[in-house]
Order: sequence, then C-alpha cells, then structure tokens
Amino acid sequence: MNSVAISHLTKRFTEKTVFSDINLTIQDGEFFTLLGPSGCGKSTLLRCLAGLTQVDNGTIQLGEQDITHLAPQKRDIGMVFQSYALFPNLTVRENVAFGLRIQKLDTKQIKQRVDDILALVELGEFAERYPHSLSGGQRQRVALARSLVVRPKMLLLDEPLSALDARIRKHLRQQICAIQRELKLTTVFVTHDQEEALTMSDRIALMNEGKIIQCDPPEKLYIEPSSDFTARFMGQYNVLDADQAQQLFKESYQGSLAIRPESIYVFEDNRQYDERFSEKIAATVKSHQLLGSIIRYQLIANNVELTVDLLNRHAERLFDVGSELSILIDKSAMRHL
Amino acid sequence: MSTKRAMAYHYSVTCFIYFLLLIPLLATLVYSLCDQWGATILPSGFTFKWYIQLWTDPRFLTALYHSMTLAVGTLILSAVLIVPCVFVVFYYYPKLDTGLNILTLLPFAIPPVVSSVGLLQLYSDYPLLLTGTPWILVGCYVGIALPFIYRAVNNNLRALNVHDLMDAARLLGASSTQAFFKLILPNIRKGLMASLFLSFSFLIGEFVFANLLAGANFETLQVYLYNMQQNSSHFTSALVISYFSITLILTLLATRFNR
Ligand SMILES: Nc1ncnc2c1ncn2[C@@H]1O[C@H](COP(=O)(O)OP(=O)(O)O)[C@@H](O)[C@H]1O
Ligand SMILES: [Mg+2]
Repeated sequence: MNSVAISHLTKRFTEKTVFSDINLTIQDGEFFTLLGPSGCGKSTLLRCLAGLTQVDNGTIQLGEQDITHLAPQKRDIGMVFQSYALFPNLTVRENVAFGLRIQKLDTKQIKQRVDDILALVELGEFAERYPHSLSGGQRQRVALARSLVVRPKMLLLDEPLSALDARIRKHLRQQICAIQRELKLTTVFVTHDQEEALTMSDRIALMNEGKIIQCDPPEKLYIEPSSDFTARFMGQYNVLDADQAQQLFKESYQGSLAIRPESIYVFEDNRQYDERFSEKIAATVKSHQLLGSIIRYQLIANNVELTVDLLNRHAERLFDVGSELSILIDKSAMRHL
Repeated sequence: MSTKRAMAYHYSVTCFIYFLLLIPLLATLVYSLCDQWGATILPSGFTFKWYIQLWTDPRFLTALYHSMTLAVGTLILSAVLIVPCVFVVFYYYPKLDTGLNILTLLPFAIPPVVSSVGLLQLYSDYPLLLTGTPWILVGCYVGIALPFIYRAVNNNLRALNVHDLMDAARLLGASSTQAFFKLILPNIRKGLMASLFLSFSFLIGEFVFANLLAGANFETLQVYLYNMQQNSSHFTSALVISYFSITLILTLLATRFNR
C-alpha cells in the first residue's frame, strides 16, 4: 500500500550534483535506513521524499500515486528533524495538535487523538509544558508525536538521535522501533552511525558521495560487504589489498580482502583448529583498547597491521604491548572484494 | 567586609549618576510648578496654573492629537509593510539581505536637513503634491522606523530556526502564510513590539522633518514646543514635563503589556 519507488532520481545544486540516478524501492511497513558519512546526500534525498527540495530528474512514487511534484502539504508524509523544530510559542499539546488544527478537526476529536499519541510516547504529564522546559529526549518525542498524530503514510527521520546523549539515545532508539512496528509505518531513517543503523533497520542503504553502495538487510551488510567502502564503514574490518594479503598469508591473492576483527583468533595449545583456519601467523601487539565486553588489539603480523577483537573473558588473556603471540584467521569469514 | 564596602561604593556611584541625569528634569519639574523664580534663590509660590493653561490650550491638544495619530499610524503602516518584507527577504531571498541592510542605514547616513530638501523638491509639484500635508510625514517616518524594525525582526528571525520550523509546519499541512501568522509572527512579537515603542518615542520627538515638511499646516508637539519659545519659560517647562510624562507612561504600559 504505502510502498515507495524511487527511480532515476537526480538532484543538483548550482555547482554540485548531490546524487544522480538513484533507484530504490521501500516496502510497505519497512524500517528503511539511509546510512552514510556526513555530506553524502542523505538529508537531501530525504528532503526530496518530503517535497521540501525539488528534484531535477526522476520520479518518486508513494503507493499508487506519483508524488514527484506534489507540494509537501499534500504528501501525507511526516518528518522529524535533528533540530526537533518544535514550535517554541506553543505548548506540547498545541504543538502536537497543530496538524489536526490545520485539518480543522473538531476540538473533542483533536483532544482525544493528542492524548492518545502523547500516551504512546509517554509524555502525557508534560502536555501543558513549553518545549524550552523539556530535555532533548522529551523534545524529540514531542516531535515524533507531532508527526505521527496526523497518521502519515510514511515517516521520515533525519538523524533524530544525533543531538542526544548516549543513554537517552539507546532508549529512544528502542522506543522508535517499537512504535514503528506497532503502527506498521513505512519509515525512512537517516543516520551516520552504523551501530544505530544495524540495530534498528529492516534494510539499510549504504551511501557514499551521492551513490548507493550497497542495499541489504543489516546482517547481510555486515557479514557480506560487497565493496571495501562497506567493509570499512560497517565495522572495524581489516581491508587488505592484494599485496598485503599476499604478505600476510604467503600465498598469492587477486583483489582486496576483508577480514572482520572478530574472526581472528589467538592460538591456544589445547584447542583443535579445523581446516577453516589459516596457518599460525606470528604477531606482535602494537596497542590495545578496552571497549567493555571486548578488547580491541592492533597487531603487526608479517608487517601487516590488523585489528583484532577478543572477548574480555579471562584476565590472563590481556596481552601487553610488545607481546609475541600466534594468530589464526577464520578463512570462511573472509570476504574477497 | 570588603565586599560590603565595594557594594556600597557601587551603589553610591549608581545613585550619583542617576541623580546627575535627573537634575535637569527635576529642575524643570520644579520650575514648571512655581509661580515665579526670578531674583530670589528659592522659588516663590507653588502653582498648577501653567499646567492648567497648557492643557486647556486647544492648540496644544490639537498638536498632541497630531503627534499621536501620526506616530501610531506610521507605526502600524511600518509594521504591515516592513515585517513581511524582512521575512520574505530572510526566508526566500537571503541574497537581498545585504541590499536591505544598506537601505536601512540610509536614514542615519543622510542628515534630516539634507533629505528634507530632497523630499520638498520631489513632493512640492504636481502630481505628488504632498508638502504641508501629514501624508508626507507618514511616508518619511516609515523610512525612519525602518532600521529599528528591520534590526529587531531580523535578529529575532536569526535566533529562531526559521527554515526547520517552516518545513515542519508545511509537512503538517500548513501553507506558508498560515505558518507565518501562526508560528513566525508570535515568535518575533516581543522584538517587534520593543522596536515599535523605540520608534514611537523617536517619532514623537522628531522635529526637523515635522517643521520643514508640514510646519504650520500640521503642527506636532515638537513644532508647538518650538513655536511657544517666546512664551513664559514656566509654561514651556510644564510642556516639557507633560511631554516627558506621556512618553514615560506609554513606555511603561508597553513594557507591562509585553510581559
Ligand atoms: N541548499 C543547498 N545548496 C547547496 N548545496 C547543498 C544544499 N543542501 C545540501 N547541499 C550539499 O549537498 C551535499 C549533501 O548534503 P546533505 O544531503 O545535507 O548530506 P548529509 O545529510 O548526508 O550529511 C553537501 O555537499 C552539501 O554541501
Ligand atoms: Mg544530514
């Protein structure tokens, strides 16, 4: 019903082409994420979907309707901004009611719907407050309620969590996901944070410099990167070019190789290693960082620098800088790019 | 101890400056309230007769009425013309802002005596025969109010996240006009009102244009004050104090109303 089809979409600003020939389809009720480094054109694409920015070429279809040249007022699309964009002169209740007032619904109906949606975002008791007296997380929930209350066909979120601190961000992430699933709302979420994208999305389109590099579900994007950009962006992947791969494994390689940091193991005497694993390779610890449940090491093996993640399980497994150790690489988890 | 002394020092300096600024006003007030103050050190006789004489003079009341209607009318017209203009430039044509900025400096850059000569030349002839009528003053005063209103509105718009607010409003179904009246205007109201009252006190006290462009045909308070110079100086003191009180009361009302 409310699926989206974007075809051949092109946007230029006077001296710069932001993106050209973008093709995407988004399923009805899907949580779709646009992920990419800052400046790659995510917000511009989102604004084109909302109708806030005119496109130069291509079409956007929402459900059965071609909305390419429709005014934003007529699109039935809700949007949440990074800056919250709450109306400072209105209370929380009036902010949320704004869209319904414009639709000239009767007062009783407006009150009912506003109360319902404020309860959904757990802000009932703040209804009479003004935005300036709310915390960032609360403001963003008001913005979410304001765009949901008009029952849009699609919800757009432009880095809604970027301005919040880490704990509130995690909580709000779950809340957004829960609400989205409950309403089965087609959602396009923009972020530059790969962890956010991985935890929230049904599908992720990874963008760079106005191009869609890879568009896949999170697990696939993480485990099967199709390019070294994906590999580098999605995790701490070790991306080796052919020469480095040859140096490391002492066998010849074509093209580059992506090795996930958690698929490199430290050799232990009393364990059996099957044929999935490479030969033992001698390595030296260059540095390490404690990241909570994992310890991240930078090792030098055959003059190649590798990032290795080990579970933070036994105190005796903490290797000091300069330690010599042997590593094995799970070759089945390696990706040839 | 030392902070207490410092406080006392700050306090006394502030009081002294207040006193210094108030002396002329207080002297005028006392002067306006006494019968005669000539050869003696202390004034002789306390009286309200100058005030009674002033407030029963139909010429004064007409001048007061002229000044008030002129200022209020001008400000209403200015607000209606300038606020939407500044908003449109800010939101749709930010490149024009430099031009508007320069334009707002002109009323300060050109001395009133000079520009009134130009205005007289332009408006003394058919088809724009406006000299001597209040309309030429209205037009001229809109120009004077422009910089005040432009500054205030522009600063308020900058402090507001106008682009995101407009975008949010449009996605909720509001037209740009609706968004302007329901969201932008209420948020710049305070600054706008402040600039309007600032312009008001400026316009009420304006003399050069009022005298040169309309003069005797449309006597304003300041022109009346000027023409009454040869009268008793007790009388003019009463006029000055009345004038000051009117402005003060209006300003106080305005700040209250604005809260
Ligand atoms: N209104 C505009 N005028 C000119 N260039 C713009 C405009 N908006 C965005 N851009 C350019 O388009 C590119 C993509 O911007 P944006 O979509 O905001 O990136 P992202 O949201 O991924 O960080 C940037 O290089 C930016 O400078
Ligand atoms: Mg952006």
